[in-house]
Amino acid sequence: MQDPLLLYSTNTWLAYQVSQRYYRGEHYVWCAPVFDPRGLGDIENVIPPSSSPFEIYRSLSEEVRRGDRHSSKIVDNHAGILRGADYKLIQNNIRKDEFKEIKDIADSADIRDFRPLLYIIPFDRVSSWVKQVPVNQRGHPLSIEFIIEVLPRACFDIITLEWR
Amino acid sequence: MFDFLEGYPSSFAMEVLFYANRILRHASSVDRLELEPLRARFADDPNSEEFSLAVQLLQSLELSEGSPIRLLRPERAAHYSRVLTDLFFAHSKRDYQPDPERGRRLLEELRKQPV
Repeated sequence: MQDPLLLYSTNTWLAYQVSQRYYRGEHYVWCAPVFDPRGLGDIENVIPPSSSPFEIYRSLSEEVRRGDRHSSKIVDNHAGILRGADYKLIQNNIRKDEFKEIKDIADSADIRDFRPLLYIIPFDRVSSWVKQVPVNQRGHPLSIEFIIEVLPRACFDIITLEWR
Repeated sequence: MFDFLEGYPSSFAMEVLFYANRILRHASSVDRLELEPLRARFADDPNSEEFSLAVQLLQSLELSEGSPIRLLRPERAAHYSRVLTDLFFAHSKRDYQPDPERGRRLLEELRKQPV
């Protein structure tokens, strides 16, 4: 497969701000080489809804709009932020007091704080850091999904979309 | 059924609950709760002790329900998923004194930051 021009990743405002403040502006992201795989005929581009940046964005937007704090995407993101903080503490990347602050922030967050942001990542800037998601963790065995464990803020742009 | 987690550090218990939930969400495609095939499919860390306990936790759930998890009715599986999620958040608060006021203050600061 030819290298993509761009990678797309949907994350929440809260996860973004935690990474900016506590992880030196370094972001852990899952990303895909297309934003919305619907309608792509190419069998090489099998990206299931659970991994589609478009679908993740749409689901998060909808869950935030409904105000459903117990919806799956928001609960998963909240859990992911806590789990990430645990990992950073164990790795000595953050101090105990910072760890506690992250927990307090996540537990006090309003549902609006889980609104989605779309990261647009030029592939050329990050190609040496991109890892393929292991087959057992992909949404579909043939799908093309990537992880960037340390993505500096300077290497991506952010856009937000209005949903009506 | 999940009481045995009380004896573990909260970060360990949270990982167990996270993995149990991850497997449970794919319950309809899990033929048997056998450790190694599940580990290859669902574990981030191939040596995770937490993952072994997650599988044990689901085995005890099967015993309690009298049914393999793949045959659980979707609403029953969703119920257990919520229970695991609630326990995850309870354990996340267990070993520290939450300070909601500090959380709200920090959030206010973050909300003033540009994206």
